[in-house]
Amino acid sequence: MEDAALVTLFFERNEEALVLAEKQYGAYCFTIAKNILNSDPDAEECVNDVWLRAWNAIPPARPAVLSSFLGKIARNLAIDRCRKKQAEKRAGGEYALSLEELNECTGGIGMATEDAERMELGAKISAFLRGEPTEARKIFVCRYFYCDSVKDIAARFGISEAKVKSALFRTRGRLKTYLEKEGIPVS
Amino acid sequence: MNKLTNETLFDAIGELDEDLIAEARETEAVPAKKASRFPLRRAMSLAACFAAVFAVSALLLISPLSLSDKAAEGEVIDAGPSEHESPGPSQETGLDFSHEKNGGKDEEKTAEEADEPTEKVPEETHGEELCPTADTKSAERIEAADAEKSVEPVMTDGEVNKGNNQSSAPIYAEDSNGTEGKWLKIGIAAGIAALVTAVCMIAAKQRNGKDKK
Repeated sequence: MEDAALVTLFFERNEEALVLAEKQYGAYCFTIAKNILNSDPDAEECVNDVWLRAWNAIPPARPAVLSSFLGKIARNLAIDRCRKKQAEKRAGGEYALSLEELNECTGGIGMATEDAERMELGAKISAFLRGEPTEARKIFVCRYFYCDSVKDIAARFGISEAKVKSALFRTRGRLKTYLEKEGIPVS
Repeated sequence: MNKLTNETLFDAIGELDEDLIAEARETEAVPAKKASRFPLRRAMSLAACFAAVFAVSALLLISPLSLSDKAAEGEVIDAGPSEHESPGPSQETGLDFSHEKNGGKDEEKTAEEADEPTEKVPEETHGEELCPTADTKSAERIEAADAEKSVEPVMTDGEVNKGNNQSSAPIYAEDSNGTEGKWLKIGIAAGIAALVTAVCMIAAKQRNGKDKK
């Protein structure tokens, strides 16, 4: 089924949309979550959350590319889960829990500004990537959006791992220069 | 805007334009292209491997004699070894260098043992052989003749080497057969190269199998 038809089902609040989306993009979202979490059960839980998040986001959102939209959700959920697990490991369950509880009180405004900054930065990185060579751009997105391993990227593009590393290194260098020119302080 | 950290940058990458995200996953067809190109590349690398091993083994099989005797070659030239060389067999085998070298060693000895006799005596010793009735031989000449006789066998392909270098005797025996020996060595070199290439091919296949697993 095409993305447009699937989005229409979401807009109609037809639950068939969830079944079809899972069938069509379940493996795709699972791969992204697995790359970040490195755990099958966690990735599966993450993917289950994706459909709920997508159900709540569409409408009002009308994604042009549904796969990317769902991929973003899966990525963000996986990162959140990953950070939560890391925090638990670092300082014990109660500390992480209390921080999360406080976040509910203070997070409203902070989250909004953070989101705005993140969106702005994301737009700048997108603009930068559009000026990059196609292969370098794809490698960058595979590595830092999909969190693919260097080995997988090399296999996907039919090039050596050394070339992938080299391309990433150069792109990072150019991105740093670009962001500095844009007035974003880079540490 | 706050100072950029790894986490904020990572989060921001999550907000990339959707077409860029989708574009990166459109490259699924590339591995197939790579797969179709791989046999040619593998064949080329195997051919290169075969050629390299063949060249090295052929060089080792054929040239060690010439290499080991290159140093002696200069001395031989000084001693004037050309008189003792047997041009017939060397031309047949096409392995002139081997004869020069072995001859060179032997001639070196002769040059050391009897400097002058090698130049003076030969004509007369030949004369003795041709004219056994000559009575004017001195003891020195007889000795020189004996020394030359001991040298002369060196010039023949097989016998000389038995005395001087027994380890290479079989090779000389092959050389004495003419071009057959040369072709035999080339065949051995090709066999070694084929063997090494086959081993490389099997190792590559096993490695590919492990990677797939």
